[in-house]
Amino acid sequence: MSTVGSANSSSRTSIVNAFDLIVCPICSKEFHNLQNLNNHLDVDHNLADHANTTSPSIPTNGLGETPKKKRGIKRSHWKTPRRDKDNLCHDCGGTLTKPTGMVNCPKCGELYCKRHCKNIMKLNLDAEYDVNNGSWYNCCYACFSSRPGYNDFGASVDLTFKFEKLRSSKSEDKRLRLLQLENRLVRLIDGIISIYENYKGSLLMQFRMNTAIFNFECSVAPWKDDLATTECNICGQKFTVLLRKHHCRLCGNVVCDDESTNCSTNIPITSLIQQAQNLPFQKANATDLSDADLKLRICRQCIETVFIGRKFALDIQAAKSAILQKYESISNLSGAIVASLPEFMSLLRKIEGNKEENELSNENDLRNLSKLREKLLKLFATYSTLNRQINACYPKNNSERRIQEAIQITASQFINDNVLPLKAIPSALNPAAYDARQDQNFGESKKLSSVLNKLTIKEVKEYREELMVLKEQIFILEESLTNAKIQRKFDEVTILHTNLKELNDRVKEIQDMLGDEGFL
Amino acid sequence: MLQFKLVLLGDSSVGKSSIVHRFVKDSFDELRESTIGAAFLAQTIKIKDTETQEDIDIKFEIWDTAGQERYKSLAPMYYRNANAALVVYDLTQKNSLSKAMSWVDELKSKVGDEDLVIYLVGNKLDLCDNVENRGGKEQEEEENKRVVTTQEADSYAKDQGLLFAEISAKTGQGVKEVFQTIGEKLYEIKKPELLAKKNREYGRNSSEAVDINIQRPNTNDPTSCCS
Repeated sequence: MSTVGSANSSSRTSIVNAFDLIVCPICSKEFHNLQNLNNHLDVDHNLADHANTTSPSIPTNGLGETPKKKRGIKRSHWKTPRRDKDNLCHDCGGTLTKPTGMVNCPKCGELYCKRHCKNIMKLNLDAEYDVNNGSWYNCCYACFSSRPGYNDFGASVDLTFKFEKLRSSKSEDKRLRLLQLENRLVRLIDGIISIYENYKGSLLMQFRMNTAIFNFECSVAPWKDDLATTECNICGQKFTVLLRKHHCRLCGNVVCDDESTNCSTNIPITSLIQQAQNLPFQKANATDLSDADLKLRICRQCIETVFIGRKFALDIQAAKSAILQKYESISNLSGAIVASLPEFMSLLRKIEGNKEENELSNENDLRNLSKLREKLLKLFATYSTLNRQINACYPKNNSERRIQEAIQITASQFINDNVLPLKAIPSALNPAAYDARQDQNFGESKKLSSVLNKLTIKEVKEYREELMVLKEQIFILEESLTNAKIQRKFDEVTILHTNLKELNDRVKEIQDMLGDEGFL
Repeated sequence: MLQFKLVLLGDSSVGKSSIVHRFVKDSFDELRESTIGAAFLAQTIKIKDTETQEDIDIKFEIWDTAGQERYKSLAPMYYRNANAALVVYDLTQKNSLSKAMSWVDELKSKVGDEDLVIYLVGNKLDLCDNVENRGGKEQEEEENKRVVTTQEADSYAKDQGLLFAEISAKTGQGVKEVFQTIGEKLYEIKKPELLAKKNREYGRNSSEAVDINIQRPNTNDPTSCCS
């Protein structure tokens, strides 16, 4: 605020008062606070959005306050404080005294202490909630929260209808314009073709035909007076001997034909017909135009209006490129993952909650959890395969390359974000392996990479070997465990038991890693 | 009673299992089969507190891993969370020392615990010529001569901050001492922790003692079925 003040005014005094002065950006008038400035802008510079938005309570430097605003809000329903008894706050029930203050909620009229009448909302002069024509008032919480559209995050106002209305008038205009241009195009092409048919076959008639076409073209669209025009209506370049004036045959506008700006183009009739096949041309298809040199000059704006929609429709109908096809399936997949993650998370939380309370987790839950996890891991594997396939595609053009890069970034982000919860699971499945967590995390990250990059043959071999060794070890330990039990060495039993669990975890981990490659 | 996890690592046939058996069962088997996976043994020793002179029981939870390459993947399961590691090499096998060195490296890189006690142990001292008290019989067996000098291993151990000893599982020379040293060292490391624990549980007589009072229904209760 201070920088604005000192920057805009050079006078010494305003620098001194920079802290409490705001300068109007239009007329450099100084104000003491933002409200005054806003008021000034609304009234003096006519910048108000609505006539009624400014609050009547704000002083306006004596300028332009309408008599309507001077009428206060309806007060007939306001309760008057009782003199014979203590007045109580309608919200907190406390006695209303000087320090607490005593105010009426302008909407319901009840008495409140100041603390409980602080929720601002817009009321109109009849003390009704009104977003559009109201002004701000301090209201009680009951009125504040009971207004339509209120939720805990604030009020929501449905503006869709308004927006649609605004937009429909515009799109209506656009549609009408398109219809007009299309009709002109059909008439032009049909007319030109019939003229061509009349004069066809005679070289001598070429000149007369051109004249006839010219006259006809002038009659279809209202050509603008080219004498009054000195510059191109699209690019604004001045017409010279070299930069000739041209009329767009569809809208009649005067435009140049500068190739660098593409303001107008002489387009062969045949290609126009081809691009707008759904238009009701009468003679286009009946007549052979292959050796006719018939062209129409159309400006850039008309080309856009008439043909861009068609081109877009064609693009949509055309077969998708490989990258986009893959993208479709990858986004389906991510949808499936996102859909099943919440279930997984809630199950995981439930099981972890059980563990914290030292309750045995439901066998079923555990099984479901591991099943879900397996499914998710599979989905992720497919996801990453698809992602790789997308990366392997050769982009046809620059924008495809950018799409490819974007997909790649999103995909890796997605994997990073969503594979993480899967890490939490081994501890849930094996409560004893808490102390082994660090190593497990290590193993998990390995697993992650194994999901992302398919295992090489060598890795598969190594993991199988490790699996075999682990199974052997488990067998040995189980034997010594029974021995220890027989010999009543219970401290050894616990140690062996813990180790056995660790081994089983590791086996599970490797089996997960191997997935379909596992054999045991 | 203090309990420590101890793991034996080293190349195959350097005598890890023999050392453990000498320590636990005080026996030696000439024809020991090679270990499969990892064997578990437990042994309790007594050490003296240097200040209070009271006896302290230390129980070693010993994991004797197989030295064969095939079982290498098992080792991390056992040296993880270990308090001490006995890295064994054969005094008569040159490359067993380099193998031991690679084990030391692995331990240092994979085990985050600063308190891990690593003991470098050269085994089969009985086959070496500098042992004075060996019988005349072995003197004739010239093929099993010492190839790793004491100095070489010792300097490496000093370099890496390891404990070092040359022992013989066959004669039992130095075996007990090794475990004794480990016990003392671990006790030294854990002592501040134990004292802190003791202070926290001030009032109890033996903080280390395991509470053996299992919760069970009071048999004096007339409503109980166990009367």
